[in-house]
Amino acid sequence: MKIIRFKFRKTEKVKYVAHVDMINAFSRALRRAELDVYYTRGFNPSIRMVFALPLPVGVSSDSEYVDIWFNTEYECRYALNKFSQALPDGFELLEAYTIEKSTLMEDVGSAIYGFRVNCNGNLKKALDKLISLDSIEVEKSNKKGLVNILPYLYKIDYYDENRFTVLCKAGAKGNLHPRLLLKALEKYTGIQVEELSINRNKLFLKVQ
Amino acid sequence: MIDLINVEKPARYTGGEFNEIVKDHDKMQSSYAFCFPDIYEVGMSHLGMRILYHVINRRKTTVCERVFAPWTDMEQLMRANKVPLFSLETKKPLKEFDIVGFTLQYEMSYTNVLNMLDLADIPIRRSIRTDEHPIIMAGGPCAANPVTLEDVIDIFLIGEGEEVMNEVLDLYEDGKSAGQSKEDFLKESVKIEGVYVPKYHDFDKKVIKRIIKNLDSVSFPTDSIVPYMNIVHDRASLELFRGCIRGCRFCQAGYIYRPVREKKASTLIEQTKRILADTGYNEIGMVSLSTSDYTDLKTLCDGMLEHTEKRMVNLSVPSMRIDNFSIELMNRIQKVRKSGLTFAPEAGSQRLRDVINKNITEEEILTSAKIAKSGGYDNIKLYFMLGLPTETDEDVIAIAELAGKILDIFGRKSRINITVSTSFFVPKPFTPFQWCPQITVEEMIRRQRLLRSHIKEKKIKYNWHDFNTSVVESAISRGDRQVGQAIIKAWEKGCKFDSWNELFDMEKWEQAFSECSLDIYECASKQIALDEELPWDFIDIGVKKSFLKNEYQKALREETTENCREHCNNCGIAKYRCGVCFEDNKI
Repeated sequence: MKIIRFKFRKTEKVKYVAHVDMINAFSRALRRAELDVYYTRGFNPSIRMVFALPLPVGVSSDSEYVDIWFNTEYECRYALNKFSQALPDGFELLEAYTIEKSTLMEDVGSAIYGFRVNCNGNLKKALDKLISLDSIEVEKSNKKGLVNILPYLYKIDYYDENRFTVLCKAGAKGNLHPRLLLKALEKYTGIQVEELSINRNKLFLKVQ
Repeated sequence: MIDLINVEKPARYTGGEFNEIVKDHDKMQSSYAFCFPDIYEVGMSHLGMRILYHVINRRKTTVCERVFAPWTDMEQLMRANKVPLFSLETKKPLKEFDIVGFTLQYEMSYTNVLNMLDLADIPIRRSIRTDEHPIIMAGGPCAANPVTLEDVIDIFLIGEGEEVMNEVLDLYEDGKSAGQSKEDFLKESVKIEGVYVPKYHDFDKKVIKRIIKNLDSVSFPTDSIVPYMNIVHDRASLELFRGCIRGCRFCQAGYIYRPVREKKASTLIEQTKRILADTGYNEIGMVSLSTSDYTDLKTLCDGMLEHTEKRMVNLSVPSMRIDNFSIELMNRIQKVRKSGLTFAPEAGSQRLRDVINKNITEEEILTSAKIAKSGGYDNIKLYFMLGLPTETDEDVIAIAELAGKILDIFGRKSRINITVSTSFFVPKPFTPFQWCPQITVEEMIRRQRLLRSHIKEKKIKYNWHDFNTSVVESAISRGDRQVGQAIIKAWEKGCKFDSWNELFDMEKWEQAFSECSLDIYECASKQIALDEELPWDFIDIGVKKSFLKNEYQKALREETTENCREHCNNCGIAKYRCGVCFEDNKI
C-alpha cells in the first residue's frame, strides 16, 4: 500500500463543481488512468482518498490537497503524469509526494483567501474597522445561530479598491468560511460588497 | 452574464464536463443547438441526446452544442438581466445557431419547448418567424404525433435520427453554401424520407418513419460526456437493442420502435471496454425496452463482467421482465453490488393482463418472487396501471392481492419491503389502445382509494401518481392542431415544467383548453370510433392501422398475441426487411 499526496489547483473553470462532485470526478479520472487504486471494502466499494478541506461552491483554489491510496508502489512522478492526463480540464496537479500516514484533515491549520469585490464605499477603511472590532458576530452559513469570527481572523492585507487577502484559521478545529467575512463586512461597516471572485491562495498544513 | 453564485446547482449551466466537444464556429458550415426541454439532470440522463450529440459532432462541418431548460431561479435571473438562452459549450445564444432542435420525449415537456424558444428571443409560432431566425426542428417518440406542435416546429424528423440527421444537415449545408434561403431548404427537405415539414407537406403522401437497419454499423458514443453533478441516471448507458418483441397494448414504444434489432454481443463487449476507458464510470446500464429479451444475454453478461468486475464496475439492468428472469443472471449481476428489484406486472388480474397482452402468468410472477427471495433481495418495487381498458373493481383489488401473495412468499416477519406504485393509463397514438378513453378523474380517485383500502399490510407501501398530469398527458398525446393552440395558451398563462409536481397547475390547463373551446377532461377521456380519421394517420410508423385495430378487438375479447420471436403476427413492420422479422428466416 502506498499513499501519495497530490497538491492541485481548482481553477475558475471548475469552481462551481461541488466538493462531492469533485470526489466523483477524481474517482472517474483515476479509473480512466487505470491506476491501481485501493478500494474500501463493503457494499459500496469506493476509491480511498481524503481531501484536506472542502471548498465552498464558487471558490477557486491554488492550493488543494488530496491523499490517495494505491495497491502498487508507484513512483510519484509516474502517478502524477497518469492522473494528470485523465483529469478534466480545470483541475491541475502541481506536486505529488509519498506520505507514510494520512492525517491530512487534521493537518490543516490556516488558509489565505484572495478576494475580488466591488463595493460602494472605501474598502480599506472598512477592512481596518473590521479588524479593530472586539467581536464580529455573523450568522453561520447553515443559518443556525451566530458565530464570532474574530478569533479566526489572523491578518487582512489590502491591495487596491477591489482586492484584499485574508489569512485565517482553517480546518476541522475551527474554520472561517470566506463568504462569512464578506457578510461581516456588510454588517459592521455598512458598505455593500459584491463578490467577484474568491480564491484560496494557500492552505497551510502542519508539518508531520 | 449571470452570476452563478446566486443560482441553485450552478453546474447545470457551466458546461466544461469531461468529453464535452467544443468546436470553433467560424470553421463550421452549420451549427446545431440540441435542446432538451427539461433540466440538465434529466436531459443528460437521456441516451438519445447523447447519441445525436455524438452523431452531429462527428461531422467535420457541423458543431452541435447542448441546451437545457433553465430552472425557474435561473430563468428569473436571465429574464431580469436580459440574457437570452445560451448553449453550454460556448455560451452562444440560441438565436445565433442555424438549427435549433428539440427532442420530444414526453408530452409534459411541450410547454418547456415554448418557454425555451421564448427565453431565446425566438418567436414561438413559425408563421411569425423569418429567414433571420434559426430553423426549429423536433424529433423523438412524441413526434410520432407531430400535429400538436405543428404551428411551432418548422421540420420534424420521424423515427430514428442517426441517418436522417446527416441527410438533413448535408442538404442544409449544401444549400447554405449555394446561398439558398431557409425556405428553399424546407421546401427541398420534404424529399428526404422521414421528414415532415408542416408548411410544405403534401397530404396525399405519408411520412415514412426512419429506422437504422443495422445497429452494429452506426457509431455509438462510448466517450460520452461525464457530468460533474449527480444526474438522474448517473452511469454510462449501453444500448443492447431497439424495439420490443412483446407488444403490450398500452405501450407506444413497443410499436413505434419496431422491429427489434439487436447489436451483436461482440459489438457490445467492445463498446463496454471503450466506455470503461473513455468515461471512468463505475456503473454501466444495459439499456433497452426489455433487456432480458436479449437473445444472447449469457454470452453478453459473461463478456461484459470479464471487463467490469476487476474494475469494480457495476452492471445495472433497468428493464427486466419478470417472466424470464433467471436466478443465474441475477446472481451474475449482483456480484459487484446489490440493489432492489423492480417488476412491472402492470395489471393485477390475469384477465386484465391478457387484455393488455402482458404475457405473464401469476405463477411466473410468484416464481420470480421466490427467486428474488433466495437471491437475498429485500426491496421489491411493483408497477401497475390503473384505468386500463375494461378494468373492473375486481382487477383493482387483484393488485393488492398480488402484492399480498408476494409478501407471503417472503413471509410477514421477513425484512422485505414491497412498494406498489400505480400510474394511470394514458392512451397513446400508434397503440392498439389509441381509440380508448382514459377513465374520468372521479373514477381515478375512486379506484385509487379502492386499491388503498385493500392494502393493509405495513410492509406494503402504496405510491400513486398524480391524476391531473395524466389527464393533460392524455389530452396532449392524442391531440390535434387545436389542442396545440391550447398548449400555447397554457404556456402563455405560465405553465412550464409540467412534469414537476411543484410547478404543475391544473387550473391554468383547464382555462387554456376552455379558451380554445375545448374541454380538457373530454379530450382526455374521449372514445374515438374505429373508423374515425386520426390526426396522426398521415404518419406511417410501419405498423399497419389494421393490425392495431385487430389487436384492439382481440384485447376486448381478452385474447393475447404471441411475441415476435414466437410467431409473426404480420404487423407490417417486416417491410423494413431487418431485425427480428428476419431472424431464423421467420418470414
